[in-house]
Amino acid sequence: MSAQELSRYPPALLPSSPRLSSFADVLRAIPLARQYLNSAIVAIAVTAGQLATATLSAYAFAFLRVPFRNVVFGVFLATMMIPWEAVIIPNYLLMSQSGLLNTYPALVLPFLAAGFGTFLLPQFFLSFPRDLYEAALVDGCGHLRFLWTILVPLSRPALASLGIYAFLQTWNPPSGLQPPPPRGGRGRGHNDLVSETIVADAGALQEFSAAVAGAMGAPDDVAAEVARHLVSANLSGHDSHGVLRWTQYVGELDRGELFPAARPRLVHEAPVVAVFDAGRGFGQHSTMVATEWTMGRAREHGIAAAAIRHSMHIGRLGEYTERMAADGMVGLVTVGAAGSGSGAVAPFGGAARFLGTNPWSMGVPAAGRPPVIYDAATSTVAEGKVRLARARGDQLAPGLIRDAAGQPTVDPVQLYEGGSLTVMGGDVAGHKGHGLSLASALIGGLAMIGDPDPTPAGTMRRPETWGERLAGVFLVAIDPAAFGRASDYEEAVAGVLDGLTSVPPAPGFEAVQVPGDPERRSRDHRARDGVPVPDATWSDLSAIAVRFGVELRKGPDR
Amino acid sequence: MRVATVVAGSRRRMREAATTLLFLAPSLALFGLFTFWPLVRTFVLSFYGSDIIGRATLFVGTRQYQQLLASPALHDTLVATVLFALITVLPSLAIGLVLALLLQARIAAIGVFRTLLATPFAFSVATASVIFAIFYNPGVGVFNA
Repeated sequence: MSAQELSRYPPALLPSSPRLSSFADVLRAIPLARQYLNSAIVAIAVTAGQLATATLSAYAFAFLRVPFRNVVFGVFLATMMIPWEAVIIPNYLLMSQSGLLNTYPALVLPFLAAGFGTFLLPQFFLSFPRDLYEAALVDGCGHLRFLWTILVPLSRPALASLGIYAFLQTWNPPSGLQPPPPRGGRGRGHNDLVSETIVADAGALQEFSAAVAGAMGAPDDVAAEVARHLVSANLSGHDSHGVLRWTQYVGELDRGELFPAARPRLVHEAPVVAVFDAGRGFGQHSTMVATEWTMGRAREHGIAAAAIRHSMHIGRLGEYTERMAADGMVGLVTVGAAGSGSGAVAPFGGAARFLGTNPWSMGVPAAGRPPVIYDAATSTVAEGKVRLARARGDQLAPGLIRDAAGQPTVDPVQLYEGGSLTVMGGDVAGHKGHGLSLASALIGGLAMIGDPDPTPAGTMRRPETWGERLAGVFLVAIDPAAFGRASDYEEAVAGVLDGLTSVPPAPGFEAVQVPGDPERRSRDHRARDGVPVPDATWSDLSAIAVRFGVELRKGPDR
Repeated sequence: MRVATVVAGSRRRMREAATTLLFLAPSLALFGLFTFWPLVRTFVLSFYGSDIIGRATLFVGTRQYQQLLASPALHDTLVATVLFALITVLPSLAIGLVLALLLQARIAAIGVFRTLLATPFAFSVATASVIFAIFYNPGVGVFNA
């Protein structure tokens, strides 16, 4: 079946043009032969070991007098009731201390004895005529000789059953003992017991993202910009705004909310002001188009602003202020929503949701060093962090969320049962985040003036319960050169930053940082060492790759 | 004479006990090293938190148990596990019994049906898992889309 056919939706049952090259592709993509060999070695060794230990102990239980028989038999049975999960950490530590990690013995040794065989075989041995046993012993036959020359040959059916069972149990690990088969680019076999995160190359993730956007119907330039933006967020350390978002975008596509082929349209234009209609296309592209427009007009007139309506998710705001600062501009970007039922944030003193996370970003260029990039939501905590805590069963720090009745809570589940996020500043200084959040929505709402089809932008869904709401993206670009000599300004900024970073650190801190510097450090680090992607996310991306018939690889080399 | 018999009997018993022990030793040693000793260690570890590189250095008493018992996830997990066991074990026993009886039927081509029913044993669980993971994928799966 060809790649296009595989990714067709709904999938085809029979290939229209059968071909054998798929098998060769698989063998090239992952070391399948080696993985099969590993599985076979481990399964055969474990099966042989279990047969041996079970035969010996079953013989003792069936023919010999075992002191405290019931207790000892109970011990054997008890091993069947101890789940592997209960002992996996000490076993890992044991293997680690013995230097056996990533070896066959680590996978074989713990499983050489199993309670099940000691339970099954004595039943069979007991049906064996006892007279024969006694006759053999009277004739001077030793236990081992009797076992090997008489009992084992006569017990082949039982041993075969046990062998098949042990082999299948080892070949098909039932309890997640061995990792799931490699998905996508993870070309490793049995030899990793712990797999939580895949490290992917940024270039490979960008190729994948561009291919998915293209397969969804985005023009090449739009697809390239979305891909660049998402991977840049990953590189900056903001994984919540990176490739993880593909599951959201695919969901939006399927619900008919996202129009990947759309391009932003200039609705209204004055010398230094514009309103764009993003047409519910990819927000990363439409916002970058508006960014370029404001920069061009600011270069000409000193300052310019743009508002965007009908925008989908616009990603990490720092991308746009970084773009402006890179050209020597002071930049300001916000995206906000306000109105009953909007977003997940309750206003200061309120018990119900009313605001989006309404982030602000500001960028300022500095001489001889990277610009200052401030980028922060106006809620105390990002929704994604609460989602993560819920998945892990962790409690939250106090003051981050309220339940449906407006009571403060540390239980993350409450957010998803009608609760809300608090505004930045929490119970102590929440009025500060409150005002900043509301301002974001009201200023972003400039995009909705005279909108014939008022659809909320950015963080909001379709207006099923349309009330008084304002939402939109708003950008300002300021050219320092319009105020005087730009180089003087940039040098003054750099001087202030030098002073800022030389403030002696408070106890518990390493240094005072310039906003935007942690992201740059993360970028250097991840561009070199790769982007960590959680297994769950990788598996979602793999499914998306299959659906759209694009390739998901973890590195440029494979 | 009587004394000699008792001595010989107890010596024989000792010998037999030693033999028994030898037969049980491989299994017991493996269980001890890879099941029971780790179980004890798991229990001890449950009273410790770990530092940034994963060493269990911070004694936290029963705090982790308190967290577990207070977690709403515990209740959900137990309910889900019991339901899963009931929903999978009971029907598969019933269906299995019915199918086994049906396969006893003396009809033509019964071998075909027996082969069909035995085939899933040969499927790789790994392969089946990947296919079902795609079926159930929250975004694009046929069951959940």
